Amino acid sequence: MNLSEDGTFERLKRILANDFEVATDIITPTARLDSLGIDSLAVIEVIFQLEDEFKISFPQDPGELSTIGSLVSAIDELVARQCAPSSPKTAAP
Amino acid sequence: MCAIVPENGGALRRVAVTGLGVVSPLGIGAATFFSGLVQGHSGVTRLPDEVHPRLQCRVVAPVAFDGLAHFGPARLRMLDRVSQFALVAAGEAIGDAGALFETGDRETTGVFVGTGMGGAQTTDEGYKSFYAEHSDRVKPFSVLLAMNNAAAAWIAIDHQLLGPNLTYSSACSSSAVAIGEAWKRIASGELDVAIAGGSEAPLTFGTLKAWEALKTMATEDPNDASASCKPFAKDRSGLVLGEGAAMVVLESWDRATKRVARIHAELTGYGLSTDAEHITRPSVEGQALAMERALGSAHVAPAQVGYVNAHGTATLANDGVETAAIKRVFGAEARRLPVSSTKSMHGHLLGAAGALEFAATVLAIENRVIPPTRHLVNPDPECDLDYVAETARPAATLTTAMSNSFAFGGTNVSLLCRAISL
Repeated sequence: MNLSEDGTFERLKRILANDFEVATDIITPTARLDSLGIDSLAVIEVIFQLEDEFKISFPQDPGELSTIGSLVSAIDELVARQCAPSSPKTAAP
Repeated sequence: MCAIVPENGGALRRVAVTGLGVVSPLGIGAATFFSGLVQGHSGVTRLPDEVHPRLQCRVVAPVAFDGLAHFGPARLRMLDRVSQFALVAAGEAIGDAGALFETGDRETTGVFVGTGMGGAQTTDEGYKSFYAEHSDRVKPFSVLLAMNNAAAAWIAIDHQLLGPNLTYSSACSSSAVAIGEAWKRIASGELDVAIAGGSEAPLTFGTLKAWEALKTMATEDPNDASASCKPFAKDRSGLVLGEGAAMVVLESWDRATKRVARIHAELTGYGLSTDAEHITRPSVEGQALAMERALGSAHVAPAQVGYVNAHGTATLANDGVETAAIKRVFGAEARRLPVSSTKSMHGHLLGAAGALEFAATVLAIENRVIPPTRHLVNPDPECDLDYVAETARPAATLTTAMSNSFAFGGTNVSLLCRAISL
């Protein structure tokens, strides 16, 4: 996992600390979101903010996101998918 | 209103008002609010030119309110302005009631809230982003912030109140209905404690524009915008939209006296009627019926009433009709009866208006002083009662007062309260 200042983990940590009032010292890759006070409803708002921060779009069913680590992986995957060259579109008639 | 039959088949129980909480254009806190009324202050103001420049009717009665002074940022994102107002008012009311839940009863306490529009600000912002900005990024909690019962739900969650949690929406009488329905449940023996009142936060661009289109808004007073709401005056031109919340703690008299609570007043009667005539135009018959039913439910004669806090919107239609309805109910007594519209100072809080004005009525009884109708300098020959024009009036012998709340849609409510020394 990329733990540099501008890495996914640190950016997520800043959002959780600033916008969700989570103490930074308990935000670790293995921490469960519910143990940080982020319940299933709050996760939806976290995702909304992450979409703005990383310019990504989570699918309607974002899959298993119970830990900080799983959230970081999901973000990295979506960012990578977005950067990948898109499939050639059919030319308009 | 159907006759109320107590569950035990016996007499109705007495109901005490033991807590008050207010968030108003005249300030936050019941004492600040009432002091402003008695001094004749106006919370009505003109929106600065740069705010919603497309608005023509620019006089409103806003609350000076900073959500962050009351809630953390994460919490605040879950609360529309209407719920923020409601929670602050409910918190004050419960605190004011002093050791309210020391003897338990949280599991049976009910919450009864009136609101006309619920989370209007959230709805407005969502539409703006969706339609105007063509964004698909609608805030994820929009549904939860905008729903009409959010304010009542948050009060229950914050104070762990497990009894009935009900939201009433009958436009401008919503919160008077909420207080009356809570009163019924306590009087009948169904509940011992209720938090009741209303909240409204309608000062959004979309809502103001919609009201503007209805041609019921006051014309700005050219010399003093704060004097634009002129109930019962010849030069009245319409209502001024306001925002805020008011909550009361209602408690069975026995419970309140047993725990030696400070009692503001007794809520003695509730009258409910429907015009069933026209969607906006008020009816003398409908309004009179609500007042008569309130008097009947409290077994009070017109001669015993010492003050009426009028609905008094300052619309051309309401004030003449309400004057006629008061005359019909009070007969010869109407001439000596002080009637005032505090909307001249706090504007029209729509769904929260009934609760705010009930709070004003309770405080008038408790402090033995009648707040004035401000900006009533040019009397209307059709409105020929004693409207306590311009200056508050000491009322040493005031014991019983009525608060009227009428509405578009025709749901009329009168509430009656009595001083505790009797």
